[in-house]
Amino acid sequence: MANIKEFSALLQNGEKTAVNLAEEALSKIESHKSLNAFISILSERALQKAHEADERKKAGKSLGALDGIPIAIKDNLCLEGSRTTAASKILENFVAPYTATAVEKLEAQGAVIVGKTNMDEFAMGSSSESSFFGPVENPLDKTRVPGGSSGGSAVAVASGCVPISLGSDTGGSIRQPAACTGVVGLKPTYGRVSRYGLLAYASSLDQIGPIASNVEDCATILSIICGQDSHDNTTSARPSENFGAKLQESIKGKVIGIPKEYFGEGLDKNCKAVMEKHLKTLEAEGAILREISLPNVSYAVSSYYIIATAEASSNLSRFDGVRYTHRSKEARNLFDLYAMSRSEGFGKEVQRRILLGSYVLSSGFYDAYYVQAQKVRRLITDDFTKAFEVCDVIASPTMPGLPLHRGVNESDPMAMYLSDIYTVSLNLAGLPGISLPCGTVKNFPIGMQWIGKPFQETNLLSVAAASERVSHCIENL
Amino acid sequence: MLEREDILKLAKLSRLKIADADMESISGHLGKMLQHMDALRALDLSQVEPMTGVEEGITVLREDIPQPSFTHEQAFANAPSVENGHFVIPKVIGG
Repeated sequence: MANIKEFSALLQNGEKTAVNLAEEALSKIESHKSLNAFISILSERALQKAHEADERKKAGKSLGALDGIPIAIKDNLCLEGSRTTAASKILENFVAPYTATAVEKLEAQGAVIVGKTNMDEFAMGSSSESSFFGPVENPLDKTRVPGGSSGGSAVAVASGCVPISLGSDTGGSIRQPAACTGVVGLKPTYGRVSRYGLLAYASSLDQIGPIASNVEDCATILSIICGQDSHDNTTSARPSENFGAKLQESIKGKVIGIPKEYFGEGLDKNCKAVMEKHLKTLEAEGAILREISLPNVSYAVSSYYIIATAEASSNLSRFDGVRYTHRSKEARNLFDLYAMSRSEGFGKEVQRRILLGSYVLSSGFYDAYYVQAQKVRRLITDDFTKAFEVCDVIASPTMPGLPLHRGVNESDPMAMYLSDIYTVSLNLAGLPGISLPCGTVKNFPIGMQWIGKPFQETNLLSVAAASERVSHCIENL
Repeated sequence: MLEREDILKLAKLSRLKIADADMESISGHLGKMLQHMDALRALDLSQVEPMTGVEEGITVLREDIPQPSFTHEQAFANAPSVENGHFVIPKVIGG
């Protein structure tokens, strides 16, 4: 896996041109085609953009560290003039009329988008198997899923096709595939990055973030894509900052909160042992480990799936067979036009979630499920606020064990939902989180999730970088 | 477990057409989910305010200045059926 610094050095010393880098990325995508990490490959566009980067360099007008660097973006992010499918049949031929703000900001820095990555349909899943375009393969083990929903974005980085990709995270969809494939994935604080141009799943939980091979690249990308946007009124007015400013800072004196609820029942014992060793290594470096409690997190998965499906059932109502691409040829009246177009266009998982969302919002169940879930959301958020009074960051597993085997989702969807048990709370509370490998079990990288205070990504990434520096110390269990 | 009638009602609300063959698996799946969620219903949260989102509580306003927007062509470009600048749908009035 390469990183921005290495690519940037190759461009700076003239060893490679941006066109070379784009061609190499495109050729790797082609040679790794069986991984099915990409839905669209943008060869012509990428080579043109790379050529423009080379021309800027010749003219002494390079735009910065990202100029000429190939990247990939998840296929639920709009790119003007390019197909944007969200891995759904219903949007199979949808061509975006505008570009997402986060993507626009990367392109403004000269980043070269080489392709759009495969994912769970409408980001609904944790295995990247529900795509209309077929499942994404995990390059580390073909029998196991690559995580999801940003599985294609994680695999694109893990397989070395690109140094960076963008994903979206509603309940763990950046962090969880990063953990499954041995890369680094960052979900920023809710409101840090504009969601304009992101095909909505659950608007109060969705957030765009980077997947990369190291913490530094995640910091670089976040510094570029963050900021207030008049197209998304949930974006924070806080100014952009250099999130990599404290990456070299020592972890000495930092208090790491360890939630007892996250290291107990349900966590694979080998994964637990690896993480505990990792935390001990950080303690030896001067970090202070402190047990904390998040008493309501056991309700997080239920609260999350109620809120997420409720919002999804509303958000996805726009796909009606009238405005966006797919329309049933069988429909003879307006109701059938809606219902048949949607049932032909949406996959099974998406339909299940829409139905569940309609159920929890329907008269008679609204208070018992939806309002109750919103109340639990507040309790969970309050738990974190209280915990952060006595610690700087919180350490947790990203996943309960190794990635699930392929096919589990269809036979036992609850198993897949429960694999999000450590990640969904951050979305409910709007907190930033990053997953990075901290050791291996059976040669499989194990993701450690670091949780930060709201809008404290600089401090979060400082701890993550310290964790990254000692991650090689752990032996394989 | 949800009954067939419940699923049909939900499907109607959701504007979905569920095939008979899928009825059982959907019912089983939703049933499992709701069973898991029942733990929440048992909690006494009468004193807790619902939380709708995590925004900082500030309503963001901006000047209402007309901006360039999509052209008709752009707005209709992805529609499956368009005629004279209108979306075409099946007849809704009369027989």
